[in-house]
Parts: sequence; structure tokens; C-alpha cells
Amino acid sequence: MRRVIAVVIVAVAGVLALTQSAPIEVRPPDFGAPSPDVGGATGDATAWYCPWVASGALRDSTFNLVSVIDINATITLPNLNPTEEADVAELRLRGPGARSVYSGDIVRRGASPGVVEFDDGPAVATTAMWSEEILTGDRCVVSVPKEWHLIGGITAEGFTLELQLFNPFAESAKVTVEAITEFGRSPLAGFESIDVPGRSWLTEDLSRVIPFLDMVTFTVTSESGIVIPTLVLNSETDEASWPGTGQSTTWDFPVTSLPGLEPTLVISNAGSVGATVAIDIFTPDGAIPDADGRIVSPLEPLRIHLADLATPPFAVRVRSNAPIGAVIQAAPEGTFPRTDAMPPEVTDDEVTDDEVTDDEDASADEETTDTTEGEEVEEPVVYDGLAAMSGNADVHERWLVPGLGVVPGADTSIWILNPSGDPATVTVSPLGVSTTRSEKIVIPAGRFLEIPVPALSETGNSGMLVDASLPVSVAVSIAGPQGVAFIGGVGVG
Amino acid sequence: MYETRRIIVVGGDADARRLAGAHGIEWFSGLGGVIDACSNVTHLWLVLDGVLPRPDALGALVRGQTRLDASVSGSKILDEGNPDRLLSAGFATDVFETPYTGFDEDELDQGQYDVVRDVAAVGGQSMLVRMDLVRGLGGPDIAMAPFAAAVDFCQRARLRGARVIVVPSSEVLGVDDHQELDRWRERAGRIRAMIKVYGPMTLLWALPMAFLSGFAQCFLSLFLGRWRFFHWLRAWLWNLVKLPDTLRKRRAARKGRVVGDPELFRYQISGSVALRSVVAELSDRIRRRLPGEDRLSIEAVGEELRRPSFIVGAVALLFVLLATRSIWLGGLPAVGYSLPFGESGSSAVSAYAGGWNPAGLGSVEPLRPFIALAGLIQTILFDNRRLAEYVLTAGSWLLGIWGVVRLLRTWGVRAVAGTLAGIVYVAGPAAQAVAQETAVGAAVAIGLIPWSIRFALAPFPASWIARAGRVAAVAVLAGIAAVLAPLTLLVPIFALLVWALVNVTDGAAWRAVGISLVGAVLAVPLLFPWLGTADLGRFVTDGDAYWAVSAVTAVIVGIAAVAVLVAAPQRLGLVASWGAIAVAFGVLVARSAGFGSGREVESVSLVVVSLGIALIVGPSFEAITRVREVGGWRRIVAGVAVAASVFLVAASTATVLGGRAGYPSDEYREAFTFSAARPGDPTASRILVLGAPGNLPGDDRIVEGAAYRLVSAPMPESWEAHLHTARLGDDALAETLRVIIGGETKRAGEILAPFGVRWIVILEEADGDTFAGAWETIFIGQLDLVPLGGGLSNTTFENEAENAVRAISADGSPWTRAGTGYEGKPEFGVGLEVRENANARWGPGEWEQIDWANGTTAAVGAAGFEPIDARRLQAIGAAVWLVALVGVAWGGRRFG
Repeated sequence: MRRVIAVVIVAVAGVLALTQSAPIEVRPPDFGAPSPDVGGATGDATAWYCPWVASGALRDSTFNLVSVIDINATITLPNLNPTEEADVAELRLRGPGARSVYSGDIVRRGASPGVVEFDDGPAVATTAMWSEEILTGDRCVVSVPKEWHLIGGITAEGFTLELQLFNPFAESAKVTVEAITEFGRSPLAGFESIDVPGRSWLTEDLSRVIPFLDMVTFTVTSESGIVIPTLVLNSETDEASWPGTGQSTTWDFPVTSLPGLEPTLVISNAGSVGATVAIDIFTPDGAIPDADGRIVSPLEPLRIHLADLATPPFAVRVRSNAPIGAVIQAAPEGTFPRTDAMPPEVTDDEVTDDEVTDDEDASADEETTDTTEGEEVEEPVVYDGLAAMSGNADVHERWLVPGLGVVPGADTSIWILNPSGDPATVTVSPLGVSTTRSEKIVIPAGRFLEIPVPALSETGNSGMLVDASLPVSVAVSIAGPQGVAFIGGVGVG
Repeated sequence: MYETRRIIVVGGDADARRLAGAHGIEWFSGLGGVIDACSNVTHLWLVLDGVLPRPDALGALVRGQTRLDASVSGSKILDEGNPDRLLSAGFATDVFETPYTGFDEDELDQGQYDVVRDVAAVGGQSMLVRMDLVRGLGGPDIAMAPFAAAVDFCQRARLRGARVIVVPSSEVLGVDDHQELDRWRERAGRIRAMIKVYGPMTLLWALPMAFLSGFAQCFLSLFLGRWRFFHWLRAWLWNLVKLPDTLRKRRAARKGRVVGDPELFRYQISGSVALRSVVAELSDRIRRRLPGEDRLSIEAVGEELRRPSFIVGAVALLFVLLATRSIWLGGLPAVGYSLPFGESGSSAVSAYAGGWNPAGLGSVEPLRPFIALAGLIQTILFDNRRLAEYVLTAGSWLLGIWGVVRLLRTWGVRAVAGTLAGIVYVAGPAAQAVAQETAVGAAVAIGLIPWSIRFALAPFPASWIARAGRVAAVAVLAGIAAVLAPLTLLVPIFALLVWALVNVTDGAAWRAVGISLVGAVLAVPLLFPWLGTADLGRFVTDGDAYWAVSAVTAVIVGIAAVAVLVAAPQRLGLVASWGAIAVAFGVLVARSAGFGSGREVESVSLVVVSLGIALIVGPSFEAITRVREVGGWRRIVAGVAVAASVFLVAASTATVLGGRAGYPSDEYREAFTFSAARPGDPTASRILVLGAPGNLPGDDRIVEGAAYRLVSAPMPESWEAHLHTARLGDDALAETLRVIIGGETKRAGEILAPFGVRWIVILEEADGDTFAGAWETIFIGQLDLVPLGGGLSNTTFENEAENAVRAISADGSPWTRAGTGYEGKPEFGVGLEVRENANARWGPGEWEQIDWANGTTAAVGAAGFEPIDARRLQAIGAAVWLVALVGVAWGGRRFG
């Protein structure tokens, strides 16, 4: 009897034991994926990685810093020789303020990619680089994803294309570079698991590896460590550089061209299905929604000659139903080969005509005002150069814009796009050693605005704080006899 | 040839005097004055008081000595009470001057040693020596006890080139005073003799060895019920006091020596005679208690060796040795909560007794009592932590197997079945689960549980003294188990309660419950000071009690239980019922995370499960041997039970493969000890360990869903396993990690340096560990963290930031860890920042709080935590209470 009772007790306890549920599995943390954009300015300490900077006998360059508050900044230029210490410059920036530091004042040894560290924020860094023959510039990068997309490569005759791989970290990185051309995926021999030693950089001449291609998109994937890649494109007249980005469904380009330059938009889809892309054009007279629409297939990068859609200047927004990468490139007509189909008919000729008229008028205003009284009429300024810029993935109400007027002999402008359906009141506050008063401007709905900025030598200001009542997008153009550069803005988010 | 002209007899009472008279030679009562007074004497016959020489004793000595031209000759000594029994016929010695006769106990004189031969020394009972030698050596050393004096005299003689022989035809009857060898005077004399005769090089190693072997002998003597520590201590102190005199005597002894130490070693045996004797006696006692009904005797050896119980016992011993071999070679594996014992056992004891808890950033929360016991054992074992880890692990297994054999014998289960059940108890599925949980304390406590139950169940003695002793013994066993794992205090009570319920009408079973309960209550004070200050709620709820029992194991145990319940005879069936209920309830509690039970509850429940399985396996093996009681269909069912039990035994023996006593393989030594190879002193810094919850050394803390903790470099120790409640520094560290995770800095090293973090190790549980991946994402993009390659299996970074140290002076000198304190360069008038959680007891000197850390002075070159007196007193009280309980238990057994 006792044994039977024991069996019953055991059975009951055993069943109870087996029905006990296991503790809930702890979910792994999500420490946040890096932004698909180059990243925005935040209220924290940040480090900005500037992968393409050089100072030598011919070239000069600046690190352009701007901050809203008082901060300490450290610029570190790693040395390729691992036995030598990095060159470091420390400076204090009173906020709100801006400052440009010649990299040649820190060290002059040719290529000198660097890291700008701010001990607080919001603060932003960009670079500008020039010689007598070239002018280029870039946003520095604050977000460091493991996978980068570099859109808009060309290795056709007359171009040289280089890939800069900057590893500012102590850990050696191992990266793989893949190419997608107009002919589909193209293997890059010797570009699997490239070692990029810590605190150094590599320059790969892609023109030799995959020559004579009109359209190349690269994907740089880190197997271990992290690199910051950038593409450097040289034409016969100028140089353009633009950083790698992630993928986004929206890209804004407040600036697309300058007089004498024809804008093109390069789109690449790294996904597995086709992306339906719409292009909105923002002219001085108003927006042209869906000015163009394409289906961008995977492995088929696309170049769209935007001048076929409207008469420059204009701003552009690219919308897509799937994440894509997009870059704007501008150069004299005929520089970029035509690989796309014939453009659709522009639906609103009148607007285009008007815009052309207005543009001409505006140009005339800008360039010939006060020169008609008996003086020789100046030819409109026409730039001959090469510019490229990756877009802004987000719109913000506040933007920090450094590096204004820093290139000797070049004209600098800020370009502000209001893509919304309402007018935006924008306050622009020059920042620098002699901060002057702010200026309020209203940008009508669906319009863009160019604000020319005087040279640094005239005002001592090299930065601008842009506050808007609605989210806007901001970029910078620098143009001079050396060449042309477009630099994306950095939003404060 | 030295002629024998005139002999004087010295000492030896009336018998020697009578003998001298018979031979017509002079007799003196003592040596005083004889040496100088008698100028023409050629030989002295030294006879000890109380010795009865045979009539021809002197004649034989003279003949033998003259024939061999020896300088010292001694007689054969026979037992006065039993003249056929040999006491000595000259000695060999060991290097520690302990005499060794080579006789068996009670060996009879059958003429087997009747050969005149050279020996290391002869007994002082009867010794014929040349007068010139006596003059040269200054006679025997009167400060020494007889044995030591005789050995000393002979050694000094041999140093001068003299020959020492034994003449067995010279017989004297004496008293067996070999037990005197263990007393302090003899011990002291031997040490003095060593100092006097050996050369410096020999003394350099022989004296420390004598010290240690003496200590070991005293320790082992405890198991024989002999307290020898005071003798050992007094002997050394006596020599310390007498050292100047000994050194004078040494000069005299070694002056004019003609041979060196190698000549002295000629008649010495290797090792320590005293230690060997204790070990032999101990082995004999253990052998007598090993499975087997009869005592071992030489005649029965052959028969005994053929007994299954002996073979199974030997196999069990071999099994334990094999299953714990890795621990012998490298100590406990460093994984989970199993961390190496501390560098210093005494530091661990001190830290437990009111000292600083060094886990993480430190606290005043008390350490677990296990740390104190482990530290105590380590201290006794010459501060050899690996040895301590082995002794605890292997000792626990041996005790566990042995205990189950004794427990099951209560119900007539014989040695073979009991031993197999014991193997399943210490190494079966549940015990392996305890080890896999790395619950080291519970794993060691397993060895004591069956004894605790056995003592409670054993027939209650008649006398009150014996009863008190029994209860005290149960308290000691339960208490030591509780010190190892506090919740095991409840295991014997629960087990015996189940047994009483199974045998509800059996008064003895209920009495056992009572004894166990009283014993547990008496054992409670042993848990102080931990018990007085610990957060018991947190203790029982930390972690999740969820034993993911394998379905195969569950089915096999179920089959064995049901089969033995059905087939076994009544008494064995009840034992199996008891075991089955224990298993079922044990599993239920071991999976009760849903009720809030924690890791400690799980490991103790697994001990209950293990005990229950053993109580099923033992009866199942026993039942099949009961041919008369178990027949017919029941025999077939019993065969099923045996088959299932064989499976369990086979599963238990799988622990032999790893040789780690069931513990998981080492994970942390490779992960952390790289830090010892980095420049600088690793003990000055900490390692930040990151990974998945439950995958870090000991406890972990959680930030943003991922686990982290700080450990000491180069290797965390057992006292760091359990983290305390978060304090100021811990909160600051958590906030710092949030800053890093939030991407608010790219110089993580800089903000981690104030916590002493010089290295960051991300532990990856398996490929694709998402927790490790998340941490890597954060730290890989930091500018001041250098990844370390070199074949490290875990992602590891070194902090480039300056001053990533645990304690630093205001002048920037890093201080290194020493126990729970710090030491460094003394700097007068300079402050010291000790990066442990702030507490005003840190010193020396004025204390100030620096943010979350401590500020003190670097003036004395050391900084430490002033112990909490109340807790220290409680710890001392607990130790005294333990000694008292042991005393009562011993007294009850001896006098009851």
C-alpha cells in the first residue's frame, strides 16, 4: 500500500515538475545600427572621420569646424608609419562659432586623413581641399556602418577613380569591395578581404582594376574592424570626392549644379527587388513633383541627366519605395556619358520656360548689376569643374554649415531646400570670430534658396547656423577658377 | 687496534651494578665526573636506568666491538614485558634523525636480526663506547631525551669516522617507549641533532622539510584522534631558545670531522619515518572501514582482494582519481561560478571575517562562508590553492561514495550495490548538473550529506554523553555542509522527513528527524557573520532555478524507480520509495523558477535528486542479489531495474572522460591570463567582461539588456564570484556603459580608466552570439581601445588611456592589489585614490570620498580596509562553536 502511495506521490510531483515552464529567454540587446546617412550632429561628444584630406607642395586643405556651444576639439592625423605617433592639434572653439584649421599647419605630408573629436556637441566637421587646378570638399563622417555604398563611379576615358579606405581605429580592418557596373555584378580580383591596418589608410586605383566603365557602384563590407571609404574622381579639369553612404528611401539635393555645369543623378539599388523611384524637382518657381519616375533594378545603376527634366538650377528630391543610394554629379555638358534612355517629355513647358527666363534674369541680376553704366559687360561666370555630393537622407529644422569662404578666390553659397508644402522661415546666423547679426528669410513652399557667403577673409566667419520653422535640407557649393565642390550639410538631430 | 683494558659501567640501577660486580668492574650511577676522573679507562658501558641486561650482555659487546674495531656498539633490546618481542637492534634513521627499526608491530625475536652489523645509531639502553671518543665528543648531550641523545651521539661519532655497530648477541630487556618519539622532547632533540651534525647545504633544505613534515604529521594525527600540534610547536620553540647553545655544540661536533653528510646519509632511509608511520596507521584504519565486513589481516589479504566489495572499493577509488585528475593537474576549471581559490588562504579567511568583499568594485557585503572554509583548508595545505581545490573535490567524492555505502548498509544493502549507488550519487545526472551549474559549494557539500543522514539514523546510544555526542556530530556535519552551501542545511531534514513519512509508524525514523533538526539548529551559528548580514531573499532568488532535465535521464530514473518499487523486498522497496519521492520533489523544486526560486535553490534541490537516485540505484542492485526473496516475474522486473541502474552508473562514469569531476571545461584562463603577459603589473588593473547574461564569471550586471561585470586581472578568484548590491561606483560604471552604448563617446577607454579597466574581454558563448556581437559593435569603433590579437579566442581590447588602474597616488604611481588591499611606493604627504566603492573604513589615515571612490594617504606604502569588529567576533565565535561541537562529538564517541 505504501508503495502505491509513493508511486502516486511521485507521479503527481513528477508531472508538476515537468509542467514547470522555462524562464523567458533574454532578448539580445539592440545597441542601434549606424545611420544610413553620414550621420548628424547631436548634443554629445562625437568623433568625425575625414577620409580624404591632403596637404603638400601643391595642395592645401582645411578642417572646418562649427559648434553651437563651447567645446574642445582634437584633430588627429594618423601616421602611416606605425612607429611614429599621430600628429595632433587641440583647439578650443567658443560657441556658437566656427573655425577652419589648415591641415598643413598640423603636418604637411601629402594625404592626411584625420579624425576630429569634439568633447561636446552639437558640433560638425567638414573638409575642403584645393590646388591651382582642383577644388573638392566633403562632409566628414560620424556614423560608421559595417556596409557602405559608394555610388557614381566612372572609369571611362578621361577619368581616374580612386577608392580611399581610411581606418582610424586601432583594430586592423578586413574589408571586401564589390562592384556593380552597367553590365551587372563585376568581380574585383584582389579586393576580397583587404587588410586595412589600424590607424592607417589605403588608396586603390580602381581605374586600373575595372577600366572603361561608365557606371560603377561599390559596396564596401567590413568583415572585421571598420573603415570609412570615399570615392575620389578626377577628370581632366577637376576633382570630386564624396563619402560612402548607407541606403535610404529619401535623398535630398539642395544644390545640383552651377552655371556651366550639367547635373546628373546616379541611383543604385543594392536590394534584391526593383525600386520604384520618383524624382521631384524644386525650381525657383515651384516644385515639379514626380518630374521623372523610374524603376531601378538591382544590379543596374542608373544615371539621369537632370537637365533633361528642367533647366538648372534646381534642387532635387529622390523618393523610392525601397532603400537606394543616390549621388548628384555635375560637370560641363558632355562630360558624363549618356547611358539612360531618352527622357520623358517635360509636362510643363511653360514652367520650364519661365524658369529659364527667371534664371537668366537672376543670373543677369547677380552678375551684371551695377555694371551697365558705361562699363564693359561682364560675361556671366561659367564654371568648369567637377562636383559630386551624396544627398541628405533626412530633413532637419537646424543645420550647421562649416567651411564657408575658406577657399581663396572661390565663391561659396549655401543652398537651402524647403521640400514641404508650406513656406519656411529660415534664420541664418553667421558663425566665426566676428559673429554678425542673424538674417531671416522666407522660403516659399517647394522652393530652394541660394545664399552667397562672403569670403572668410572679409568677415572672419566660416560657419553658418541655419534655423528653420520647418524641416529643410541644406548644402554648400564652393566654386572658383580651381574647380567646383558640393558639400552636403549636416543636420542637428 | 684499540685495546680493552679497563671498563666502567655507568647507570642502569641495581641490575647493572650487580652485573658490574659479577664482572669485577667499577660502577658509577652517572656520567658526571667519570670522564675526567678515570684517566686509564678505555671503555664506558652506558646503561639506561630501568634496563635489565642479560648476564653476557657486556661480554658480547666487548667481543663484538673488539673484533670489528668499532667505537660504539649497542645491544639488542627486547621487551621487558614480553622478552620474545623485539624493540630494537640498532637503527636506521631518516634525514630528520627519527629512528627506524624496520620491525613490524609486535615482531618476535627469532634470531632473524642476529648479525653484527653497522648501523646509523644504537639505542641508549645499552651502549659500549670508547673512552677517548667520549672525551672527544664530550659525552651524550644531556639536554636531549634518550632516543634523540643516542642518535645524536652516534651521529657525532660517525662524523669523526667512528664505526657504530649493533651486537645482537648482547641482549638487554627494556621498556617499550617508542611512543615517546612523538613527544616534544624527542622532537626537539632530533631537531637539535640535525643542527649539530649536518652541513649548511643539508640544513638549508632539511630544516624547512622537517618543519613542514612535522606539521603534516600533526595534521594527519588529528584523524587518529591525536593532538600533536603543541608538541610540534614546543619542539621548535625550544630549539629557538636553545639555538645559541646548539650552535656552540655544533661547532664542537663538526670540529675535527673526518667525513661529510654523505656518510651520514648512508644508513638513512628516504622520506619521513614519522609521517610514513602516521599515514600507514591512517591507511590501516581507513582500510578497516572500507567496504568489507572483516578487518584486513595479512593472512586474509589474498581472500580480501578477491572479495567483490574490495574490488568495487578499489574501482571506486580509481574512478575518483581518474574523474578528478584534471583538478589535480590544474585546479578547478575557471568557468561560471567556479573560479580559482585566492592567492592567500588567510586573506580569504580575513576577508570573510569582517573584511572587504573584493567582487566588482568592492563592498562591505559579507562573503559566502564557503570562502572562509576554502581559505582555511588552503592555509592548512601550505597555501597551495590547487591542492586545496583537489582535496575538497576528490575528498568530497570519496566521502560521498563512502557515505552512501554506510547509509545504505543501514538497510542491509551490501558494499557492491552501495558503492555503485555512491558513484551515481557523486557523479550521476543530478550531481553532474550541480557541477555544470558550477555550484562548487554544493558540489563539495554532496560528500557530507549522506553522513549527516547516516548519523541521524544510526541507533541512538544509551548514555546521555553519547547522545549529546551524536547530536553534536550531526550538527558538525550539517554545519560544514551548510558553510559550503547554506541551503544544504535543510537537505537532511527534508530527506529524513520523507523517510519518516514513508515509515510513518517507525519511531526511530521520527527520532532521526528530530536529531537532524536539532543538529541543524545547532549548526546555524556556524553561518555567522554571513547569516547576520546577508540578504537572504536575494540569496534564494538570484538566478533562475530551472533544471533542463534530459528526457532520457528522466525516463531511465523513472523505469528504475518503478521497477525496484515493484520488485524489491519490503525494506528495500521502502528505501526506493524514499528515493523516488526525493527525486520527484527535488526535480520539482529544481525547476521552480516560476515561483521565484533562484540558482542556490536549484543546486540544493539537485543534491536531493542525486541522493534520491542513489537510494533507487542501491536497492535495485541489491534486490537482484536476493535470490530467495526476489523470484519469478519479480526477478524479471528487478532485472529491468538493474538495467536502468547500469545505464545510470555508465552515465556517471562519463565524468572520467573530462577528468574535471563533472565541471565544464575551463573558459576563463585563456580568456583572462593574457593580461599577465602584458607590460606592467596586471594586479594593478581590472578587466571589464562583457557578454550574454549568465555567460560571465560568477554574477553579472545588466545594462541595456546585455551583461557586464568587472573582474580582477590577471585572473578573477573565487571570492569575486558573487556580486553585491550595486553601490555608487557600480551605478557610475553602469552610467558610463550607457554613454558608450549610446555612442556618446568614441573614447570609451578614457572614461573606463577611472574604474581601473585596462582590458575589455567580450566573451562569446558560441558563433553568432548576438550579445557578444552587440558589444563588439559598440567597442570596435572606439579610438583608444586597441584590439589584442595573438590567437585570443575572445574579442579583447586593451585600454590606451592613462591611469587605468585600481589605485593610484596623487603623483600618478599605480598601486597593486595585495589581498583585498593595495600596496605601492610610500610617498609622504601624497594622497592615494583607491578605486573601490566608497567606505570610510579604507585607510590608513584620513579618509575622504572622491566621487564614488576612496581617498587616503600613500605615506605607508599600503592601504587596506579596517575590518568590522562585530563581524570578526562573530566569525571567531563560529569557529569556537565548531571546535566545541567537534569536542562534544568526540567526547560522546570516546566516553559515551
